[in-house]
Amino acid sequence: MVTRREFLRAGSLAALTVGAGGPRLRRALATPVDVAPRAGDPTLRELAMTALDAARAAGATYADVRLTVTRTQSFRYASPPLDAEHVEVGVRALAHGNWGFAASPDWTLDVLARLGREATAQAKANAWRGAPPVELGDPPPPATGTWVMPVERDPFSVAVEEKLDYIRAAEAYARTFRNGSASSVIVFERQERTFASTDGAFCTQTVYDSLGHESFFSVGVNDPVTYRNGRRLVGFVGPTGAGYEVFERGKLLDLIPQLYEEARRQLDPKPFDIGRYEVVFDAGAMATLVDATIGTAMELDRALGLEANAGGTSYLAPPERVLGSAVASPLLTITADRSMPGGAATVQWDAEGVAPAEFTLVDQGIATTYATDRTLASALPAANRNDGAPHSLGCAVAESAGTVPLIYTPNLTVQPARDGGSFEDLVADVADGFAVVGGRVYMDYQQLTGEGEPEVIYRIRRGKLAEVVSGAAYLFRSPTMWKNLVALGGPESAVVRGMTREKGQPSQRAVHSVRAVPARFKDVSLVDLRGGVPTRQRA
Amino acid sequence: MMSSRTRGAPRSLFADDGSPVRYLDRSACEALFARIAGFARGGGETGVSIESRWTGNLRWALNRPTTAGDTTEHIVRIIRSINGAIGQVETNKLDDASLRLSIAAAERIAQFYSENPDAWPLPGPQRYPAVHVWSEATYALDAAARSRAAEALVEPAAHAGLLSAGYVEVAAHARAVLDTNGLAAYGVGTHAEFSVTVRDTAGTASGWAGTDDHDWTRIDVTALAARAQEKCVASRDPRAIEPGRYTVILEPQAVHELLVYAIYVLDRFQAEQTRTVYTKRPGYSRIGERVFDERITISTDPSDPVCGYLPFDAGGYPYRAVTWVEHGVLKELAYDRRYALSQLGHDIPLPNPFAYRVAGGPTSIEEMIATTERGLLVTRLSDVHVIDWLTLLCSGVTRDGVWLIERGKITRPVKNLRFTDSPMFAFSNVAQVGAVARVHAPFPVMVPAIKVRDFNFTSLADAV
Repeated sequence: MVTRREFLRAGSLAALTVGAGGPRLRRALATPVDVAPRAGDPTLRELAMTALDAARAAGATYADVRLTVTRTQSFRYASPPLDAEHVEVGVRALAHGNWGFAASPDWTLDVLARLGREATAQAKANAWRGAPPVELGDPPPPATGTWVMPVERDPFSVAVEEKLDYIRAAEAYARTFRNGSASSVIVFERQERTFASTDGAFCTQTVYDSLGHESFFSVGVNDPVTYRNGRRLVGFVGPTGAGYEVFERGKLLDLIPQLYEEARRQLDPKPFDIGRYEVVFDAGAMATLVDATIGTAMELDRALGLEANAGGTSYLAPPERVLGSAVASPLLTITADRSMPGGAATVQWDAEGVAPAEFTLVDQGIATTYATDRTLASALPAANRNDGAPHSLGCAVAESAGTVPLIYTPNLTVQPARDGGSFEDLVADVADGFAVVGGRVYMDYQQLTGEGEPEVIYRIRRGKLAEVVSGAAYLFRSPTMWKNLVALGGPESAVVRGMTREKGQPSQRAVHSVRAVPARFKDVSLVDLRGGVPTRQRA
Repeated sequence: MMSSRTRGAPRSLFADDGSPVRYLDRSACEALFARIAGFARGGGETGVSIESRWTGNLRWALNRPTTAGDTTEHIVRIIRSINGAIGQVETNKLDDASLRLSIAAAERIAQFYSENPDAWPLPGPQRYPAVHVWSEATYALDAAARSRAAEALVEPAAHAGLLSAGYVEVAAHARAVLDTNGLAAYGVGTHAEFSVTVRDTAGTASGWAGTDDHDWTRIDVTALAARAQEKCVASRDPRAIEPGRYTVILEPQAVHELLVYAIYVLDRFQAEQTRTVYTKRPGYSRIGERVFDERITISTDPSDPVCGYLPFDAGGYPYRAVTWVEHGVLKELAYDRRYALSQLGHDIPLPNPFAYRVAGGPTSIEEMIATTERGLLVTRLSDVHVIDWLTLLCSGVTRDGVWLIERGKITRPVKNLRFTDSPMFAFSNVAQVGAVARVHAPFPVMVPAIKVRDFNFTSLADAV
């Protein structure tokens, strides 16, 4: 279903795209709006303490405050670039065992004090008879200091025309190919996050998300006679915890001829026989599959049922039954962290001031723990806590200060096979099968069953990629799919892909990265999506 | 000029009565615009679009509150048009120093985008229909009232040993669009949203109900919660059935979740210049042709008393009453100002609000069941996405209750299924149309239950 967020975005953009012709690159554009207090400004501490004091005075047993300054710059099709700056503050308070929250765009002492009181009043209003109180457990070591995600070029210090030059040149280059085209949405974001809590935390960190949101760059080819079209996305575009350098180093122009060729092959797709086959996933497709299944399913709030009325629950539930049991082939080990260089979820502290742990979600096929935050850490069975104490693994994320923290998937790494080879090596071992390149995976609301729609799917014949086939998708049940994993690529074959997750009510968003290697699965069910549909409407 | 009349017009945000600022009223927006326009340098035109919103919400799961909050937010978009070149920025920092920087940034982008061949003036004054989208009851539903309402709803589920999860959200949303050519649109409306899921503790059954309305008092939360609980209980012990083509009775929520994609592409430019389901041949749309069963009529009207909306879009252009599809025939497609100027010789766009209403029919769901030899009753669809925009072929899964109908009776709950079908096919294969209901959607939507023949289920999706 199209979310409110998508609808609102589409609606307001349609209305506001007032039309721009081709750009004339004339002169540098200076860095715009940038006047909110930055890290180190004493105003930040004063604002934060005012909110915490007000919450405490109103009866909160715990409170935290987040202040964010979010800068985005987006380049959307042919529209003029849009610069946006949003400042927000949110106060969360725990009183009578319940959470309350209040948020505003106004950074004034009066407003901060009011938010502290309101959040506490919210919490008190929610004391229901018989409801168990939230148990936060022991506080983490207080987060103090300043951290800036290491980037080489802050995207907001790069002149707009340099970015536009690069994007437009790539688009123009793609158009020089026969019936070729390119379209792009490129977004840069920087968020400065200040966090303080009644447990003594006060810290500021700056994180970047380059090429995130709905960013993409695609090369297309349209056959004007048959209406058929082919399209290939640039792989490295997606949420990334890096600066402008990730875009520059992508060497967009160098990639275009190959992407065009691959897109062109899609114009003449060949039919295939539906059935069960051995299928090789490229590293990007594997990253998507891991994320859509196990990654999502091991968010503890989903597994416990807290998302039941929104995105859904989890097939890996209940935790006490799943933990310690096999959820995948012994080949599969998935580790998690929020320290991966370039990781979209990389931080020094999470949204609750917890220094994130590096941990293992799945160890040789066995589920070992879930992604947790402070609110839910105590819900994990005691035997599966790191040291027996219920403490958060640092997976809390608030999209901005205007939203409450929720559990989100951290950066994930699919551990490569030590002696594994490349994508081509995995293909070479298949006599008759298919290869999935990129694409998306659409799951049900428990991540139990899914439909994968590859960006490109090749026939494999005698160990080589052969023709592109038409309309093929794979249908799967997650437990079976992961049991049927038979080979993984080696360390050299890993790629990192940025992922976006929406959850919650109201819907909010967070990003993370998945580092994955190519993989081979047996008995994958391939279907023809277009085959099952009537070609003529019934009268 | 502006006529979005609201009953019980709210107090000024900047009233000195100690009440928290909850959204920007008309005078605050006008003052903000005057300040911004005053900072403009270099001539040309200035436009400002303001979205100001207060939201109060409460979320619960496992029969207890999980999160709750009150949030205010403003988004101000500034557009500078200088000699036809456009620059725009977005901000929520409304002090003078910040606004000066913002407008200067817009002006620099405009210089960068100079000599725009498609240039046209900012809109200037517009006329809007009167709408009824404000509810004092919604605006007054504070944290304590939300909590009391939800706690009362959870009790029956808890008493029955079931788990309730749900969400209440109330909001007031002001939109102002002003420009130096005399446009001064302001409107404010309320919005209330309610949804609830009831599950059994073993995770083998789930029921859902939800809706939204601008008026909280028109949402019968007790009835909806009871419905979700009944659906949960009635969907216990589902059995798997073979995928394939079935006659399906789609409840209104399910109808919307499939039909919305056909609403989304109601666009003339896309139909004529690219290819959509509304393309006849290159350059021509299917306006005048049958696109759905003759019982399907789709319209929208900002003045609709039950599913109205603010009468202008974020660009300040009026929404109008439109019949997109009449008795199955495509009558109209939306278009923007660029299209209007280049193809129609005028400068008034016809925006698509995504809010819509499908005309109802005479058949109750009970009658639909009674007249079904073999089929399925579907509560709602979930995780729907478009596989192919050229045919609107979609895939998704059923959720929160599917039942088998045999010889005119519901015989048993069945496991969820994945479907692959297009709204263009499904709503051309209509058997019966029922009464309309307001559904749970990002925009006001009223649709009937519809019985559809030969709906295509492609695999089992046995999630709960």
